[in-house]
Amino acid sequence: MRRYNSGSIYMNYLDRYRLKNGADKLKIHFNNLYSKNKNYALMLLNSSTLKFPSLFVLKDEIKRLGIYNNLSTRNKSALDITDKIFNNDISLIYEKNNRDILSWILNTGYTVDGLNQRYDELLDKTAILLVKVHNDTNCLDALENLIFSRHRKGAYIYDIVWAFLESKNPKCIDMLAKRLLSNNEKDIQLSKKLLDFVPCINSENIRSKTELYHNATKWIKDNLNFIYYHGEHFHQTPSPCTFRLSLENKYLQNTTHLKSNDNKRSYTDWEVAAIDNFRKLDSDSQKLLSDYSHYLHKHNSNKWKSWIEKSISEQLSIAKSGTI
Amino acid sequence: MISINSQIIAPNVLIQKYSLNSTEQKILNILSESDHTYRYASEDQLLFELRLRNSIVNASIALYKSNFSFKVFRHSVCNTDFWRRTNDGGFLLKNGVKPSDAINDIYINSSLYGTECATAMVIVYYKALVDVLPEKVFNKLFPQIYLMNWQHLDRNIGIMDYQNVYDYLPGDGRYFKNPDVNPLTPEWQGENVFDLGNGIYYGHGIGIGRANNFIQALNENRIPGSTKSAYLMSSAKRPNFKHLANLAQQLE
Repeated sequence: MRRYNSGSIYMNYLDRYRLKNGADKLKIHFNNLYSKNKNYALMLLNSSTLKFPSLFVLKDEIKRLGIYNNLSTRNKSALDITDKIFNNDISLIYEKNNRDILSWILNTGYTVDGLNQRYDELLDKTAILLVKVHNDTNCLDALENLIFSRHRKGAYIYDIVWAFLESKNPKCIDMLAKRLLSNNEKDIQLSKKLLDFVPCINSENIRSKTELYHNATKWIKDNLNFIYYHGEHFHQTPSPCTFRLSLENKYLQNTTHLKSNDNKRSYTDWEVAAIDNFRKLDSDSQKLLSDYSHYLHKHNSNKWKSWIEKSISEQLSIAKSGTI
Repeated sequence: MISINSQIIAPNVLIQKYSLNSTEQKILNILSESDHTYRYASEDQLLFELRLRNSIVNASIALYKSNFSFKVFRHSVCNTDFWRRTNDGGFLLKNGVKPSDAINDIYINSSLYGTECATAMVIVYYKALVDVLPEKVFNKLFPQIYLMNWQHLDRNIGIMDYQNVYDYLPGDGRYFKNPDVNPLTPEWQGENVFDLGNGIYYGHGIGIGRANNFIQALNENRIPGSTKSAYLMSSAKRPNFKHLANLAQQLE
């Protein structure tokens, strides 16, 4: 589906009018256009260049003028979906051919976020459906944009944050990390909250946002194989843990699937026993062993093989000495 | 076991101070029968926790019995004499309004208020504190209140979500998670509740009931065809009772 930005020379006349004069005046203007030249008004409305916000604004006028049947298939579907979303119609879960229309609603609609409460709610649920029902990850840029622009305004972000994170996509972590470089302090604060699982994120020893970004991205890159989606959210707890690090898998150098927290390979009997011993350690010792194991594996895999077969107390004393 | 000032105490004398089956008695029984040692610097510190936990239970029941309604954050409502509704659906204390009056108003004019379960939890904490602390102390401690899920709770309350707890106590905040929630109703992705004792919980929107009642209500709001049930998470939210007890003592 083609996307046009608001500065495009292809911008639809109705979109241009709405941007210049506002939603209420567009309604009046559309009525005038329709009374003078029905075909022209319908042509503008059904144009492939129209953006969803204009259709949404004209929803009641379309109903009042009785022109629903004259709409393009895209417009009819978009209005049907809008009604279904407002009615929590369960058929939206089953209809798998809605994806393009939902994408059109979100991608041409998110820049007009804040139009009104109903519209914003519609954007939230459109995003949730794209992520949770259609497994769409192309919408993540739009969602990230929505989250941070709303947060700057103090608007409601929680459902859109939920949709964004529920994509369980590593791209989300990268996008959040990039916001650490933002010139807006509110962006940085939110990004830090959502990246709370990164150890250096609240470090007081970091002097600049660039240093924080580099340290955070370095840690994320180094640990990505062991990070998994934990699924805690703002409504659930004061400091939600969105993602977590699997210390056990880092210790045994077994990749964790980010989406499911499943291991890439099943543990052998020996590894199951090793994990049992590992779990008996205090959290500081677990962290020390997993960090050392990862470091050694990266720099000298032969030595790692011999180290990992030692007893856990021997492993700990070697790790404490810090030698390779 | 209960240890006060490094001495393990026999709880009998304390238990007798409270009426049979009272929340305080239930808590004392759980603490004293536990394998874990619950440490307090003074008896006053323990008594404060008992009072506040009892107050949380009472504030939960009172909110349940009130006309406070369930509304999703986008449609939340409040009494604008006391609160300003913020863009994110929260309630911010108005300038010039006494914090204790504003919290009490939620219970007095409850029909003017409606929000989701996470904010209801926060309201219960503040109401429990209003009822336990002298008015002056409460208003000094919490001059600015912003009621919006867990994200703006005053630091002095010191809420922590503990992953490993030895015992669950009346007044604990718990969470029922609904991992397969219907995407069209994200407000059902989980239910924040308070433990009222005897296996009974209060969660705004569902009400008062046993764990299976909450699980059933959440399961009815799953994505069609889901076989993954809602469940009660093992973590527990608790205010920093000791910090609050010390603050109360300092400010009194």
